[in-house]
Amino acid sequence: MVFSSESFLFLFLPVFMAVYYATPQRWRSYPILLGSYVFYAWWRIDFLGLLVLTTLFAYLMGQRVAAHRGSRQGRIYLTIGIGGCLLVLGVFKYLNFFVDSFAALWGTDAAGLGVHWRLILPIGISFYVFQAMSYLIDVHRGDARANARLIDFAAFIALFPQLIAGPILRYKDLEHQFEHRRHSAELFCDGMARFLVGLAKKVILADAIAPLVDLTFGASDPGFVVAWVGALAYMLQLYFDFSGYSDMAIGLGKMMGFRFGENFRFPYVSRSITEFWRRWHISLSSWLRDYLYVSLGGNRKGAARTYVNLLIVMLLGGLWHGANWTFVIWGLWHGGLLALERVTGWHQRAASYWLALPLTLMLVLLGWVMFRAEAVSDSLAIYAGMLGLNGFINDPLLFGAMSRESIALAGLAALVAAAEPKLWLIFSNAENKGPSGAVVSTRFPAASAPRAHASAALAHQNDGWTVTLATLVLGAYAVFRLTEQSFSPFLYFQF
Amino acid sequence: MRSFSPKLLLPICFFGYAVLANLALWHNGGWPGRAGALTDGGASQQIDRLYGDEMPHRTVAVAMVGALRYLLFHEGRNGVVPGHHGWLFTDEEFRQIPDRAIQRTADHIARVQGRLAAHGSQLVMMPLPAKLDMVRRFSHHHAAASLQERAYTTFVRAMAQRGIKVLDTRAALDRDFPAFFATDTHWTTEGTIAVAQALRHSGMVAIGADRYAVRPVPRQTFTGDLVKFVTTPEVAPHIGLLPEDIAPFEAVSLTGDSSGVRNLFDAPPPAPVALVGTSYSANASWSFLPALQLALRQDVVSYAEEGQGPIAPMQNFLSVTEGAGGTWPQYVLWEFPVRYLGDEALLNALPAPAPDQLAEVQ
Repeated sequence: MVFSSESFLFLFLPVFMAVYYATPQRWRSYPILLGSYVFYAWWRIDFLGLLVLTTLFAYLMGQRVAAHRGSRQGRIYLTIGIGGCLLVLGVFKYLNFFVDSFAALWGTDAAGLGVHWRLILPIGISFYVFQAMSYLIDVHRGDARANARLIDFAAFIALFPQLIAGPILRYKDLEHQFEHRRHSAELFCDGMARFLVGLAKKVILADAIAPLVDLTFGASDPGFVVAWVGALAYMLQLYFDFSGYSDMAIGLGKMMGFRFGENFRFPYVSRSITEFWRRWHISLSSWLRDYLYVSLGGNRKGAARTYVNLLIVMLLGGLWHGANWTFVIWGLWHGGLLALERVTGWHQRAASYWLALPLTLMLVLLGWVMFRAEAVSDSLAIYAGMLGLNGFINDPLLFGAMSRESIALAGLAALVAAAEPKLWLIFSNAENKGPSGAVVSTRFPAASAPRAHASAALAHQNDGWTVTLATLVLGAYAVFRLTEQSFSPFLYFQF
Repeated sequence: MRSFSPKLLLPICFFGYAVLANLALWHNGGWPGRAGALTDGGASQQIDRLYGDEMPHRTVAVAMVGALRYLLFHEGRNGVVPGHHGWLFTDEEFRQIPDRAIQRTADHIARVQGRLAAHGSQLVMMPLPAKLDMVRRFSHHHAAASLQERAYTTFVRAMAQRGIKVLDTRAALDRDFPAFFATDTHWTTEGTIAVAQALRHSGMVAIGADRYAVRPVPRQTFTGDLVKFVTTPEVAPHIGLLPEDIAPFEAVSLTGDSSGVRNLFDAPPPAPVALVGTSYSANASWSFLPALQLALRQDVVSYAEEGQGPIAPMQNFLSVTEGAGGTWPQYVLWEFPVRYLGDEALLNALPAPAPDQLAEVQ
């Protein structure tokens, strides 16, 4: 099931919320689990079994790791647990890729090796397997308790707002919330507003831009104009699609009393790739940092090893997105850039905004082309177009097929991406009030006092009816557009 | 708490509407009987379809969003490309038509001609030019129109090179009259009459001696089939997409029965001319069949089918007629819209030639 479908919005969500709030607070993990399993099985009921088995396996291994924590036996159980999770991921996500790559080495395809089957990628597997792995590692490190009720743990793994496209949650961050979380009308309303804003980002912007992207990446030899428009459009589509989904997940979590961490912090205002990764898919980048980069030694083993670690982490981060050489190259591209910034010190020097911002955006854009392409050769065609090697407008039909509405909404999306820090303050003024009721700028932890004060004034000024009505209009228009369009899946489901 | 009460509007509106919508779906009988197979996703698909197709706000959403898009950007949903002055074009006329598609189709037509010739029937091809090509003055996309024109010319030449009789319908339609509707994919009765008359004067079909009279059918107004890709019929006139006007007619034989249309499973017709093709021929509103009967002065039986493309109706005609072992018509007219040559699915669906037919063509 997807959030941007009428059956979710007008059937699943109301029924779930009614059942959830009708259940006594201490039993609410039961409707969460049941609802999440229905949500997952809506796609295919058979893969629900894999989710249940992974949950049980991680829970049992967690118990064993906790029982033997600090001992050799504990490490063995951890290895078995992590190995089991990786096996699930390896088989269901990467086996096809390994078979294809092995066959290619021999100049044939999978069928040529006598392999006539293909495994279907279970939706959301990368997200829930990573959550299970982080749980085991946290238990091993003593950061999470393993004495939770199975129902709470299963509800955590399956929690439907984030089950199939993240953000990647960690049990240690939510275990307390499963036991004690606050429900209030105000939090529910804030969650609803966040959800509607996310829906609007997905349906009004990302989906409207999609035709430009499909047109470009489906062309054999796009010209200069089409290649650039398509690449820029994808840059915006991916952000609004994924951050829209994250907003919806965070909003739904709030409606259920949960507080998830932010997954995006205006990534397209970054002035370095290092900063970009602090702002883009934060739950993944911090997961990779805490569980992979740190485990590899991080930056504690000298400069050369740090660079190698960065490359390894980003390569695996790329591969996490999918079993394709394009993701491997994309990961290496970002790993290489991160290492280069460390070598040059670029990420700390805070270069001129007007030089650093476009340069960073250009590097990110070049990476997105590889990320989006079906195959490396397809990305080369787009790069050739961007270099003008295919002519300026070499295909009038292709050029003529570019939708004006999509181009206009891509322009609007670019403006929104640039102005989002201020827009966010307007739309989320009620969300970040501290205990005293004063607005605190959680998005800008390093914000200066005057900026925080100005933000508070802006938020206060826009508090109330105007923002609510704007959210309502955005939400209604998103629902109207959703109905007018056909079903549209989220991009991050494929990962 | 200043911001609390306005925000309460959001869940009240959202969940309030959800309750009303579900009551409406239940009341309209949408819910009962939607249970499908749980294990293969059948049930969930049916529920998704129910909520996607029958929510109370659907009509308003399609009307408003579509009208807004048309007014602001002069565009429609996937499927339509708006032109000037309220003209709409199907996006099927904006596809590339590869030369290999034209050659493969011409090969297939040559094989069909061979099969017909074996039974003493003569094939006459009537390739229909794209509407975009014929009324390009109402389009922004002259390059695409030129590509359609080139596809038509190449297609005609490819068939001629294979010894197939081809009527130049493009020349017949390229006159000073509205050959196509502004908001519909199809041709007008003026267009059908022009093509029928061109066939009469081409000498490709012998003219009969039957006598026919025109029986007018009351004029009709209808909403063009491309309008639904923009907005609803109720809103369309308000944004400049006016209803179409048509004056269909029938041909009444003064010398015997000639209802024209035959069911596929009827006994083979004694009529000397068979018409095979798409909705351009099958839809009685365009009056192509009576136009042919009047022009050729003989009975014409239609085997055209709507929604099947141009290949399948001919396959059906051949298999039914061969299977029945009946009388073959002297002439088989095959109406074939050129835009279908850009349809990959059509190309993939072309029947593979039998070895002897392949040798014959080569």
